[in-house]
Formats: sequence, C-alpha cells, structure tokens
Amino acid sequence: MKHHLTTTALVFVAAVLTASAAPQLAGDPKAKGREITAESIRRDAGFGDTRSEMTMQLMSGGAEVSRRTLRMDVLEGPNNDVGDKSVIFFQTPKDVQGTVLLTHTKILTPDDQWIFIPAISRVKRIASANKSGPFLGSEFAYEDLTAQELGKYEYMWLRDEACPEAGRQCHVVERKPLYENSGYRRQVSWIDTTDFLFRKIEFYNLEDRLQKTLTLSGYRSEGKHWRPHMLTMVNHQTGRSTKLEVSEIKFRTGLTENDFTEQAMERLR
Amino acid sequence: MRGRKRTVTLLPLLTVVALLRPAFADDGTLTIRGSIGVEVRAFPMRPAYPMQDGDSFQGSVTASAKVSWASAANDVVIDVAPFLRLDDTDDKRTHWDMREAAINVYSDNLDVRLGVSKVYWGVTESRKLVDIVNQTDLVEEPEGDEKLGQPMLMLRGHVDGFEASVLVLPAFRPRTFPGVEGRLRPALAVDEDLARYESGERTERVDFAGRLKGRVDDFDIGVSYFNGTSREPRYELAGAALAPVYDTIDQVGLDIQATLDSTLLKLEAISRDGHRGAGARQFTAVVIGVEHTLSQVAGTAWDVGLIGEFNWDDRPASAPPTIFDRDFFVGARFAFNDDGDSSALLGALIDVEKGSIYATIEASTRLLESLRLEIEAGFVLDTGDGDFVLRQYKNDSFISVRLMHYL
Repeated sequence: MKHHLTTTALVFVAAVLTASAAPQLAGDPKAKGREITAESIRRDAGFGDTRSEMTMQLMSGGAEVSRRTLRMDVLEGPNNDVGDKSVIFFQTPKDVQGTVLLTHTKILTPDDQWIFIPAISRVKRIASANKSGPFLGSEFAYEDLTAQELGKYEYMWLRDEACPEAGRQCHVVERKPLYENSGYRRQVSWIDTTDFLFRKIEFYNLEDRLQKTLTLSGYRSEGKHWRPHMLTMVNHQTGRSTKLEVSEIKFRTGLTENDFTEQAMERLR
Repeated sequence: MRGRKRTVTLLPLLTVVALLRPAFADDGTLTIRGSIGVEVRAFPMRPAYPMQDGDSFQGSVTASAKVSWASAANDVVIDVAPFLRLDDTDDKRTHWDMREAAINVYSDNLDVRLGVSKVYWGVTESRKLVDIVNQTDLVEEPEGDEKLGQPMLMLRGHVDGFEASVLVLPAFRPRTFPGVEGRLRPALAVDEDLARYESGERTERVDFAGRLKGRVDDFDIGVSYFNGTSREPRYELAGAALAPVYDTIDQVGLDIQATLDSTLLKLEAISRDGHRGAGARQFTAVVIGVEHTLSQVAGTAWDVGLIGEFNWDDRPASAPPTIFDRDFFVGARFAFNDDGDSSALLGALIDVEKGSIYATIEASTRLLESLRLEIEAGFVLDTGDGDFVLRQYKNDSFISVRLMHYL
C-alpha cells in the first residue's frame, strides 16, 4: 500500500463511489483520523506498478526559473509493512540527463537510496537521513515525494468542512510524522468525504509555523486508481512555488523487483 | 581505442550485433546526447622546466557524444560514446578516445557486456585505490579521475543484493601523459612511445578481473581480484625522458561502506604483488574514512558533507610512485540545492610525515538551461621536506574554468 505523493504515485485514491458504503467511522478522533486515511490508502491497494512522465516547474514570484522533466517508476510493496520502491530517471536539464535515483522506502527507518552517475558509470549508495531537504531545488522535500505509508504517522480527525474545491465536503485530518528526521511537526490534510482523495495538505515546520501548502488537482483514474495530474506546492516562508505536472501515467507496465535494483539503474537510457 | 586496436574490439561487437538482429526488429528507443566544452587552464606561476610552454593560459575545446539504443523491453542496450579534446599548448593533450562502444544484454539475474566500456569499483573520495579496470586518461586532469574506454567481456550475475562479475580484458590501454610542452608533469616528461612491458604480448596480454559484492543491512562489501598489466606504470630513465614500465601484477582489493543515517564509513584496501623494480615486494595500501552530512545548514537549503580520510601505503620506492603514502585528506562537499544544482567539493591532502599539502577545488553550477560552468583547481601549498613526487609539480598550481554546452 503505498502512495507517492508525487508523481504518480500519489496515491491517494479515489473511489468512485461504489455502492459499498463509506467506512464506519469511529467516534474517537484519533481512530477516526486513522481510519479515514486508511480508507484512502485501501481504495488504491493493488495498483501494482506505475510509470509516469512528469514536469517540475520551479517558480519564484509567479515566474518560472527552472524546469525539470523526470520519469518515475513505482513498484507497490507487498503489504503495509514493506514500503514501495521507486526509480526516478532525470531527463532534463540535459547536464543531469541519465542520472538515476533508486529508493527503497521504509516505514519508520531511513530509506535505502542509491544514485547512478552516468559519466563515470558509478552507482553510489547515499545516506537518506536527509528527508526534509529540498528535492532538486524544488519546494518538495524528499519526504513529500516518497510513499505515504499508513504507519508513518499518527492521526487525529479535526473536523469536516468544505473542500478547497467548490461543492465538495472534506474530512480534515491532522497527522504527525513518526519516522526519523522529518522536517515537520505536523501536517493537516483535506480528504474528500465521498471519494477519499487528498485535495490539500498543509505542512507545519518544527516550530509549528505554516511552511507550505500542497494542492492536488486534476484527478484522473484508471480503473479504481486515481491520481492527481497537477500538484502545486507553495512555500509561504519564501514565496516560491513548484508545480508538478504529470503528463502521462501508465499502470501495470510489467515492472518487477528486478527493475528496482542497483544493476537495473545502469540499464536505463 | 586508437588505430588497429579499434578493429580488434569492434569485430566481436559487430558479430554480436549481427546475432542479435531479431532484437532490432522491435521498436527500441534511440537517444543521442552530446556536449561541447571550452576550457581555459590558468597557471599563476612560471613553468619549472625548460621545455614547458611559458604561456600562463592553456586553452582547449572538447566534444563528446553518447548515442544509445535500447530495445523496447530494455534487455538490449548499445552505447557508443566518443570523446575529443583539442589543446592549444600540449600536443599530447590533443587526443580522442572511444569512451564506450559496447553492447549490453540483460536478463533477470545475468548481464553480459561486450565492447569498450567503463566499470567503477570503490567508495572513498581522496584516492581510488580499488578501481582498476579502466586506465587513467591523465592528460585530462592530474587527479586521474578521467578514464579511457576499456575493451572487455563482462559477465555479471546478481541476486538479492549480491553480485558476482567476471571480466576478460583483451587489450591494455597505456596511460596518457602530458607532453614536454605541457604542465602538470614531472621534471622529465613521460614518453608514451618508450613504454616497456613485462609481458611479451605488450598491450595484447589478456587480463582478468573479478569482483564479489554483497549488501548486508547497512554494509556494502566488495572483494576484487585482478591479474594483468598494472594500470600504474613505474618509470625508468631513458635519455631526457621517462619511460613508463608496465609490470604484470596480481592485486586483491577490498571495499566496504557502512551507510548509517547521515554518516558513511568507508574503507578501501589493496594488496599487490608483481612490480619488478629494485626493491620489488608485495605491498599493501589502505584508505579509511568517514563522511558525515549536515542537512539544511544554518537555515539554508545547503547540505554539507564533511569528509575525513587517512591514506596509508607501504610500497617500496621502486614501485610506481604515489603521493598517498601517509596522508590525511580533509574535505567538504556542498550541495546547494538551488535552481542551478550547484555543488562544490573542497579538499586538502596533507602528508603527515613530509608536511606537504595539496589542495583541490571542484565546483559547478548551471548558468542557462543547457550551459554549465565548471571550475577545477589544484594548489601545491607546501612541498614539505622530502615529498619527491609532489615537489616536481611545485610550480603547477592551476585553476581551470570550463563552459559546457549540452546538446
């Protein structure tokens, strides 16, 4: 079960309202918050693997200052105790083309991470403790982009209110990171009461100041699996923002464990 | 590969390509990328040796390309990557090389690579001790991180974080050296044409290498073996030049990295036998170190990696010379996490016995979408008392500035 906030992976699923009833929500706010999130994750279980093409626009004061294009492959972990695996292949800027980042996501301990540098044909295992650092100079931190496993947070339902998108109702759920080295004290998420898709997340830094807001929109589905095609992260401290646009996403492309190894990094072109 | 060698390596390659023709029937993807570069290397001090060009600036241009074809299933990948440099000062630095011209065939647990390619082994920063497959393209830069393409047949099996590779290396690539007009050379220039080989087959001796690599929790461990022509030559006096002498050696290597949160612990060690000089004997060399990364330093987006490594080498004076005999390396790696993906590595190698100090800077940033600025510098800060090797470069501190345009 996993979700990568970004990319494709983003998982927060949506459910097309099937006739099956919404989950029974407990009265205790902690249990209720966890159950809402679990339902969101549950509805996306079984996505298998995805391959997505993405463009990341780095904006400052409303103007684009830099643009990156990436391809991201994700392999769903077999259960809630094992994280997803992902491979990010850098396409532009051209000076980093061919660089590959492989991540084996863990639940509470630091992920295993490798980088492949094509110019010297070297696979380097790197320290991944730096979850709160910026990803490629963007407003996304590494921890915003890796799989959103259920066990990574403790939850609290706060209230129900209108979603940021007009005409929809959302559960507002606070979550606090349990994993090591997070840059956040807490996050507040807006989860749609009907399709259980994430619409917005606010990130509060360790001093509990609102640092960033992520808006997820343009949800499209393949079968029961929904993915946002536009993710906008606004940094309130710096005035900068990053738009992550998913131009294409394919499910069940036949990727296997063998595509997420050190050796597999070398064969991507 | 230059001249005749090229045909030797391309023939088996073409055979394999012919055998694989069915694979080409599917729609694979072809990617072509390249770069052109303009470089100026500045030497603040006058040259120390009479034949060296007296100009303070050395200009050159480079061109490189990489053409890759991958089958639709990504199980066959072909790379061709030529490199060219034209230098206005040193004839020997004007050279071209086929960095890669290889076909790779992949299955789930077994890979085969045939052709000219690069293989990197090792983990440490200050010295690449275990890395032995590819020869150093020393005219490119004095630290020896640029490598020549090596003809090879490599078989590699892997399962669950363990990997075994066997390499057959059918041709030897002699090291490149700056010419007599060039800087960053010893007092006497090394004349590649005078190369001597222990093996009667000279550059045609077939060398062998193998490596076992495993991952156990936080530890990555590699054990390697090499039997063949030493990539490092020793030198013999030949008139007014030095002749490179390539002995046949056996080398066992060990590389270990422990990845602990933000701290990496690294070890590389080799034991080598076979150099034929007067003091010939087996010797051992070790690099051991640590790299600790601080994230978002002082409220910035910067990551700063602090590096400390100790080098120890007990080779006899008659073996190929090294500056890494008893040396501390201290360094700092900066990743600025900015729009230009700027980075820098500052380092100093300090000889704890002789007191000599060699400092280096590498830095780069993206100026425009396809244009990158790179700066590289080396400073001989102190030649110490008896550092015979470093002293020969005492006037060759340099700063090089490169603009790379990516196509």
